[in-house]
Amino acid sequence: MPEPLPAELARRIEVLEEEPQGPDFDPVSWMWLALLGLVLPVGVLVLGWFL
Amino acid sequence: MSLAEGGLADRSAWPLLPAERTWGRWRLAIALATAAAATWCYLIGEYVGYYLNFFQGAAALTGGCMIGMLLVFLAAGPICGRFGIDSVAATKPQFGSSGWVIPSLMQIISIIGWNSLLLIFFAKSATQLLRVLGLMPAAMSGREIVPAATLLACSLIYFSLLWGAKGVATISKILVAHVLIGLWMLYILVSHHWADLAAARPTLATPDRLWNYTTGIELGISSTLSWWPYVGAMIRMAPNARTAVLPVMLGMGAPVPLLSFIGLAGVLVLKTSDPAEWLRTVGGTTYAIIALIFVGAANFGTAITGIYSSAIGLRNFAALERTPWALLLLLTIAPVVVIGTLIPELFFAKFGTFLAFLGVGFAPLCGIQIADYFLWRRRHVSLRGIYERDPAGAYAYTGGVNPAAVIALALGCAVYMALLNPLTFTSHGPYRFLTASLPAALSAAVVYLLASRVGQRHAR
Repeated sequence: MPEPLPAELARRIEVLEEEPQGPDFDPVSWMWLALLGLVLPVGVLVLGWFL
Repeated sequence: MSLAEGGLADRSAWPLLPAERTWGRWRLAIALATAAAATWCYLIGEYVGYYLNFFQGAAALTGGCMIGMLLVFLAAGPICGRFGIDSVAATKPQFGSSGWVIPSLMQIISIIGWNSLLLIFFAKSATQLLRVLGLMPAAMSGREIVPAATLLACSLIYFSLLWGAKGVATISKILVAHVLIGLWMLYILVSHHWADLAAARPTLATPDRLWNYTTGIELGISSTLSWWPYVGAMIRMAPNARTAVLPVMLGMGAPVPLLSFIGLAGVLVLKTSDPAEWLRTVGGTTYAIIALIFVGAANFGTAITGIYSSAIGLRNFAALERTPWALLLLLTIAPVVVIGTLIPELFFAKFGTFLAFLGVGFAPLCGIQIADYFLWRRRHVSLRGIYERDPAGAYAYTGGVNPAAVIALALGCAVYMALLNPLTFTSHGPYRFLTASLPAALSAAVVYLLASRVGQRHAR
């Protein structure tokens, strides 16, 4: 017999399931992630190697 | 009184509703920057300064930290940001409805360790400050003041966090100024010692230039990977993952390398990364006082976020789900109080060993989460499955544990250890070309995907 969820938690899950949260990242977010997490560090590392 | 009626949702590990996720970009960035900037920054800089000159060290730290931050954010960010849950809850799809205890233990040990270090540092700075200001009672020594100051700091954190996330946000708004003080300190050191800095050579650099550079990058990556436990509890307060992108990458990722330059420059020029000591050398007692206030504020701000994140993580245990917030905070902060008041010096002496092994685990964990969310599940996560305790639930696996994740985590740790011994910094194989964290994350991701595929076929 599965343990029931607390009423408040069940309510929250229902609310969130009824209102889908949409995608995690949009194209602009991906652009920033790629720029700050890949392009910038790789560029800085290449530059740093020659210093 | 229900959770919602009491406005207490930020003190639970349950998903936050859109109306409760009120932190905008600036508020989140300030909270993250305050959390990121702490004593560890100049310790990280110090270690890098043993192997690299200032310019290469700065580049390695910047590159490494930003790559590490990307890994942490891609691992925990999407699920925490979409559903308003913390980092530990976000591991349930990968590790299972019982297996999440493994990352939870990693989080608890990591945060207790870091907070003990930070608060002992805070207490030592307070002791130094009293001494510099001539306020140190004649009959007392540092040995007596440090435990008392640690206890005082823990009490302040406890009372601040009785407000939940609001306490974190309020304290952050006040303490964020220390980030600017840190940058000013860097400017002072660089402007006073530019010639020395440009000419300074690292003391432990090996003849292998590539090894030195890779080690600097590795230190940057592994340092920011230890942000994994903190990031979820903060970004769940923002409306969605998209809002958190710039605050995380710039508010949390950028201050770490910038403030690490303080330790890097300090150890290269003055052979000490302690800003209080070298600022006294550069500008006398007044500068030393500013530095000590900076250290105290920085560590206090980080510790408050750490204790909050840890308390939220503990909420995932069914036994603590309904524990009063005040009691839960007490349970979270108690180990820090014990370490900080009873064994501060012993903890200091053994801390490096503890931390070195801890860092090994977060790279594979990030690899597993990224592979699971983007490749295995293709972004389909069941929120109900994260919380249900049904033996036939979405993430029940085998007895509540996903063997694929456990195997991948173990193998990822083994890959890290095979490439780099974090205690002795003895490296093997292609470490000098690849670092240790990145292959550990990648191998864990690949093993997780393969093991999941095998498990799926077996289930049919």
